[in-house]
Amino acid sequence: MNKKELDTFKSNLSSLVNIIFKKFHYGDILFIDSVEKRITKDKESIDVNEDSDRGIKVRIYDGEKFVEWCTSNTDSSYLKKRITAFVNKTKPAKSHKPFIGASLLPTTQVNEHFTSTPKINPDTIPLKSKITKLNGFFNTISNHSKKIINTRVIYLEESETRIFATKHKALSQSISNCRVILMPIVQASTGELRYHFESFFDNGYEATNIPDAKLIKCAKVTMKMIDAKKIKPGRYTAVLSPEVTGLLAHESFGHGMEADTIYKDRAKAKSYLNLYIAPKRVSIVDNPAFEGRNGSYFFDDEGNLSKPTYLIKEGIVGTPIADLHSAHLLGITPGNNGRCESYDHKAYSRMSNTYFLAGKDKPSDMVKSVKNGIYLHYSSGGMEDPKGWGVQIQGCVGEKIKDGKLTGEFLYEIGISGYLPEILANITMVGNKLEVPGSGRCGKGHKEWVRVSEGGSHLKIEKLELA
Amino acid sequence: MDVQTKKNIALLKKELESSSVTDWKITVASITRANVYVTKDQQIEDTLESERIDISITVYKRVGDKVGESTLPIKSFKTADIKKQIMDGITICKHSLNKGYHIAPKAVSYPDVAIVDTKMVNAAKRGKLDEVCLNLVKRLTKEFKKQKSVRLSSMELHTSVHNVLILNSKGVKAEVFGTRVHLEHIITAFKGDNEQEFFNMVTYRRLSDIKIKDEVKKYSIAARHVLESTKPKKFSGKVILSSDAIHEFFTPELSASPFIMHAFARIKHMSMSRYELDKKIIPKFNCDKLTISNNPLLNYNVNAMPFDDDGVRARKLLVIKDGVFKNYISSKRYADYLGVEPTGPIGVFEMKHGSKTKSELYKSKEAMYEIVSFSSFVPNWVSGDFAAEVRLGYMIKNGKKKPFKGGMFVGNMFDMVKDMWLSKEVVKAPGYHGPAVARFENATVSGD
Repeated sequence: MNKKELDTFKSNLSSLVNIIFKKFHYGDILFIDSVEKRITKDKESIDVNEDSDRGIKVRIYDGEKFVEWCTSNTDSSYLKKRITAFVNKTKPAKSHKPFIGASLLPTTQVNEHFTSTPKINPDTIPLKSKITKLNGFFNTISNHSKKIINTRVIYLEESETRIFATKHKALSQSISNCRVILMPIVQASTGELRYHFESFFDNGYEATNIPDAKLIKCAKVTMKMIDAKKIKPGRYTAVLSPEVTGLLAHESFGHGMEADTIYKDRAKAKSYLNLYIAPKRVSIVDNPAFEGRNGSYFFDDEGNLSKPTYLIKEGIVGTPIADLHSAHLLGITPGNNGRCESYDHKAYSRMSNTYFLAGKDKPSDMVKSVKNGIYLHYSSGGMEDPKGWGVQIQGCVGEKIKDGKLTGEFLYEIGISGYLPEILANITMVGNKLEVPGSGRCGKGHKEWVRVSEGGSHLKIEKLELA
Repeated sequence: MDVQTKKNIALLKKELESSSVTDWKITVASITRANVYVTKDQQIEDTLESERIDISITVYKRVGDKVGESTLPIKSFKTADIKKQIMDGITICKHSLNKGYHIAPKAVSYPDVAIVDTKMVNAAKRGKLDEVCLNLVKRLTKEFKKQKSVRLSSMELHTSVHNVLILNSKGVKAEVFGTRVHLEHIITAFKGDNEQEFFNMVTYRRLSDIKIKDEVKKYSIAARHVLESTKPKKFSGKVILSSDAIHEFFTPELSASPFIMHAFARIKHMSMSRYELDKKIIPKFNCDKLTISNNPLLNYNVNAMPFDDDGVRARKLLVIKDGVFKNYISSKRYADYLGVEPTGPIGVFEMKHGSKTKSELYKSKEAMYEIVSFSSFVPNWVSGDFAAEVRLGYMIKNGKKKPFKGGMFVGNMFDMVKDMWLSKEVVKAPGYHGPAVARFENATVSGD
């Protein structure tokens, strides 16, 4: 969508939303247009595909609940006809309560556009060049050793435009990002196949500026999977990399601070708001305004401008992250975390970029301080348990630490479990360098996928339950 | 399909036929949805209705003995835009040439698989799908209110009517209507100040597949047991999987079943499959041997479908017989690569019953663990390794069961089926048709 088309469309949506306000105190329209381009390369084939998602969601607050209608047909005259019918069909609720969203409507017109600025716009790079680059990654990794059976190289380009319109407000944002995923595969000494993966993320094609040294390192770590053993279940002193730290923040705490979960009395965190849950050295933030990360956006899907939220501040449980309706029901200030997977999905309270803040300890000192323990390099994901504050992180790759040194002895498919407050209380060191590398998708349960990132600094945790 | 969409498809076909592509495919997927979201105190917090049509083209361009393929979404039906999209597709094809293959030929016919709830389809046609959805929500919430010591913390009901149409340059014309009903609920059991919750989600084809009384009773009991549960002690020995856990193990929601993934022709082509035709999938079975089929023809199962994404006719396929790998599951492209027949869509995971009755499996002088539900079972489909937290399980000793929650069931799926007994009794669940109970003779649950 070029600027002229965007402005015209935005103007149309602004006039369409006024149809709602003739009958109701609050309503909004969200437009999403997203495109994903993917190139997948392995030793047998190369595939290039594109997918897109485009549509509109119209929401009316009827006095008690949201009533939503969504369509993939974005023709202006069609929308006018259908929105008019939708408004006519929707009846105001019998008990009309003042809605917090209505009280926040601006009194004068607000019209802004935001855009992420990649260093290298991927649209300026010919397809042939992209494929050549991926072939280069493939060859460098695969040629490292004959024991590497195959290497999958995946390149993703995502770009989206979102427009939000309500009374006196029309916001638009264009966000893009690129990602490279490397996945070499080897045969373990026990016979089964194993893989290692690394991903590289940035706002633009600069994500593909991966030095050979990193590609070789990826291949070398993959080779370690050949002899990697399973861990003996038990409690360990562990040093978590920023990737795994991020998952801890995200899965084990972040989900429990989602306002819709709190409203439903499903979150243990509700009883701990403004109370100590962790040592003072621990702070966790959710921040969609963190520039250039996978979970970054300028405003959420309910038109609220991005800003950080302290989930834990120096050990004290802070503020829930909230969508508009949950904030209204809880009687709290609305946040900027109302997000939906697509135009035909509801908005929920969702995380964005979630991370532990950096502390004072050098990661090298953290490893040196461990006599016998595990360094957790990365993980494939986890699952939330906001009610029980249980921790479940799976698919971790670890490396033994002995006498303060990494041994090169790798462990495969480790799961982390336990009780969150106990784990937080056992954090004894917090690294001094912040990294937010995560680049995946977060689900609410097993659906409603939104792009997020997670990270933090290294953490040293005593008595961590690993299996 | 509405008149405009039919016109759009005709235009696409015309432009594709007059272009320089070697072959083409058009995929049209339309979905009509009605969802209801229930929050605490059984209040409806949101309703959503939607209509979606997604149209894409796949273009194929042959260059010598190689073929390029590219799938592109179509958002504009202006002739100039379509022509540009096709040209872009051809350019992509030329840059991504692979080993040659042929697209699916016209099928003689498609099997008559029942995947539609006619009540839902009729309601959608009248614009009343939301009323049908709301009616079911009311019946569910009414049933939950009858339960003691539990409350419904949250529920979502999503109903959808969808239509898929596939056309290609070889004459394929495959079209089907289907329906889906997705139910999620979170039940909280309480006693004094103590509370624990149980989350369940399930997808069916028909509204009537939800047995309301049974569903509410089963998961209310589960929630109460989670409330009574303790943390498990570390355990090695006999572990039973039953109820939801057995089909979560064999057909994981967020990952692929390793038993099925390694049977894919595409995975074999990538040198990532551990299977060899007519060879055992593991060196030795000490208990029951695995016999697994892929079956897309089970009426009203959520994974039933009459054709795949290429328009290849569905059929039941024996994948593993008595532990021996027999057939690849394959799309047309990879079937051509491996020199086998394409097999149609991925369907229901169908596993042959075992040799022992349930009562035999539950009988043991030693203590056993039983797992009925996982928090999230996500195995590594490549290696088969897993470490999954137990949402609800039971420690069984001297015939008595004591609930536990937490701990992790750990192992490797290929390794564990070596010492696995399966029940003679079978169950049907969404995506699964197989033994009701499995018992692993040497398994590990981590704990205190």
